[in-house]
This record gives sequence, C-alpha cells and structure tokens, in this order.
Amino acid sequence: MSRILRAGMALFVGLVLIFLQGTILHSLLPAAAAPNLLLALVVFLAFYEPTVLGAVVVFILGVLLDMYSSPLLVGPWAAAYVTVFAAVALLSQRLFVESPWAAAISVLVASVASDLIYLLLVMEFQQTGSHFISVAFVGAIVTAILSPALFALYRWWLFRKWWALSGALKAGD
Amino acid sequence: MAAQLNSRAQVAAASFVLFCAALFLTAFSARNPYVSRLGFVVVAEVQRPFQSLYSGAVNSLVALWEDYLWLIGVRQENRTLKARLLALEADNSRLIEFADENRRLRDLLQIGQLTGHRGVAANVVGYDPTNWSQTILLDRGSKDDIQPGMPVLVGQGVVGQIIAASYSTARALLITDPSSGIDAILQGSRVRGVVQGVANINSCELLYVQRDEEVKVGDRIITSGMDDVFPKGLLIGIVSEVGLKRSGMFQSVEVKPAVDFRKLENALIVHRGEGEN
Repeated sequence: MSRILRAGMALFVGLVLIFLQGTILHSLLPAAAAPNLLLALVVFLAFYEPTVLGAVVVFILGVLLDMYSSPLLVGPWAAAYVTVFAAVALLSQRLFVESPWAAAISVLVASVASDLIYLLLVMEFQQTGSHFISVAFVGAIVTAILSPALFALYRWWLFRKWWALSGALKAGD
Repeated sequence: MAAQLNSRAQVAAASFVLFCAALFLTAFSARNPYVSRLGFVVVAEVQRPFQSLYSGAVNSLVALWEDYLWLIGVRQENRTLKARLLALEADNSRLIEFADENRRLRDLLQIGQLTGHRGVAANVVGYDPTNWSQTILLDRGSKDDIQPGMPVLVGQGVVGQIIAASYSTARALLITDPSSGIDAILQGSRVRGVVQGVANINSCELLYVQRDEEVKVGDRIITSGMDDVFPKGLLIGIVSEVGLKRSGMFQSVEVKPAVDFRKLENALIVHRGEGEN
C-alpha cells in the first residue's frame, strides 16, 4: 500500500515539477540553462523504485509532459523517459546510489540520452530545430550539477515524509 | 538472486511494453492531432488552479512592491503609457504598409485599405517546460471563443497561432518554433517566401527565396494573407542576414522577429473573420 501511495505522490510531484518548469524556472533562468527537474525525478525513481510500478509512473509522467508541451505529438517523452528509466534501473544495482557522483553522472547521461531519443522520434513526425547541442548538453550539465540536491529533496519528500504518513495511516487501520 | 533476476526481467519487460505503447501513441497522435489537443485540455485545466495561485501570488507581490514600497501611482501611469505606445506602434506598422500599397495601387488606379484587428486580449501565463518547443500559454480559452488556428498578435508584430484551447487556457505556437510556417512577403520588393522558426527565440528563417531575388538586410517581412490564418500586412520581422548557399535554388535569409518573445506579457488573439473588413 505504501508503495502505491508513494507512486501516487511521485505522480503529483511530477505534475508540480512540470508546472514549475513552465512558469517559475522559465522566468528566472534562460531556457537553455533551466534544469530538467522531471528527468532528475525519473532517474531518482530508477534508483529507488526500480520496479514495474516505477516504470508505469515514469510512463505517465512522460505522457503528461507530452500533453503539456508538445504542439503535435503525444508519446515521445514517454518513450524517452521509459527507456532511460529501464536502463538506469537495470544498472542501479551496480551503482552506489547514495553517492552524489553516481547521481550526477547518471543524470547527465540520462538527460543527453533522453533528449537524443526524443529528437530521433520527433524528427520522424515533425520539424524540429537542430539545436541539440545547446539544448541537450547545457541543460544536462545544469541538471547534473543540481542532481545531488534534487535527489536529497526527493528522498526526503517521497520517502521520509510519505513514509511517516503511510505509517500513520496503517496505525489508524 | 533468482528473485532479483525476476524483478529485473519484469522491469525490462514492462519497460519494453510501455516503450511500444509510447511509440504507438506517438504515431497515433501524429495522424490524429485532436489527441494532442485533448491531452492539453485535460492537463491545462488540472494545472489551472496552480497557475492562478502562482499568477495571483506574483501579481500581489509585484503590486505591493511597486504600488506601495516603490513609487505610488507611477505603475498605473506606466501601464497607460505602455498601452498607448503599443497602439501607436500597431498604427505605425499599418501606416507604412498603407503608404507602400498606396504608391503601387495609385499606378493601377486602385485604392485598398487595411483595418484594425479585433480580438481578445490575453496574458501570457506559462511557457513550454521543455526546450524543444516554442509555445506559450495564454489565459483565454474556449469560453472566450478561442479556437485552434487563430492568430496571436502584439503591437510590434506577429506572435504565432493558437494550436490548442481548453476551457480557460490556450496554447500558442510561436513563429520561432520549427513547426511554424507563415506565408510572407518582403514589404519593399514583394518577394514571397515562408517564414519558419529555427527553435531560436531570436531568429527565424525565410525560406524559398530564389537566388536571383533582391533581398537585403533591413528589409521588413510582413504577412501575405495567403495562408488563411494571418491577416495581410502584419509585421513578422526584419531581415538580419542574407547568404547564398553553395548549391540549391534558394538564398539563405535570416530574420529577426519583430516581437521580443523574452519580454512577452500580453497578446491579442484575433477572432477569425474579424481581422479584416
């Protein structure tokens, strides 16, 4: 039950992150330098919830992002994020997930990979700009630098806070 | 160990199935644009309360600072002057086109005119959360009769067009997005082309301009009215660079948009059929 609650919480957090990226972050930072908070959440879920439920949550988050951002297509971000989630989840057992370096490098590689997958899918169906280097790499570096702090935040919010709440709910039963 | 392998196999299998589902969804939405619009309607309406909260909080803080802590009354005066300036800039753009057209049509003994554009004023409340699309969110929707395909303008020129509308929110595709294409003409030489975005907020490209056509830096590019979306005579941008590619029939023409999208706060959504008399 607590796992399902945590998955629901991750979905809610993802929706808030999509909103934040489209409003506050865009106002405060140049577009290319804005961190990809949602991608950091995907990698976080791959580390701490490398299960079928985690994959479903990531898929839904990708579809929500497609619905909110893409002018034409629904699905490319979902495909990109699911692929990245699967790759990181399968490798997570070989990584020391508590290490900030593991977080940063994983997020950097995952960010570039997800942008590449997105570009490959979208190129088939609609026009897209050839600004991969500036968009993908700059954003990936910024996200990677911030990832240890983001992971700590997600860990506190999704595990300790929600764990306490789910424990209280169980006690109430 | 066996349990771990099973779990990893389950994750891999589930991810593969979800990946295939996402691919199918991509292909399906490419053939059926209403899927993307419907999805936007759902997500936009769910996010609407958060956006209202955010906009209200920001506006309140800004009002507190500017009206009470900074300069009293100056903000209102600034607003009035800005609105008047926008209207004057729109008039100026139309008058330049009037003057050119008057000269041409006087030779042919005809007189034409452009009218003002009526529509709905909207505030920009959000942007694309990724860097791969150039879109903005506006706080008007189907309740204000906003529909996909309507042009979005400001006094300086063309912003883009509406591509999806929920009950109270609409998404506009900026002219700087690679998916955007506007039929355009150069105001002086009347050379025709298509202005397409290059995913750079400061730049567009004018396509299909033949190598022997006269195009120079500083030329104004306006809408031709031929694409049945944008009224004729609206300023799109200024030619910033002209180059000849090594091969091919066309020149390379870079366009600086007339609108500064980084500072875009308000826009006018023109209702179809009300743009021109």
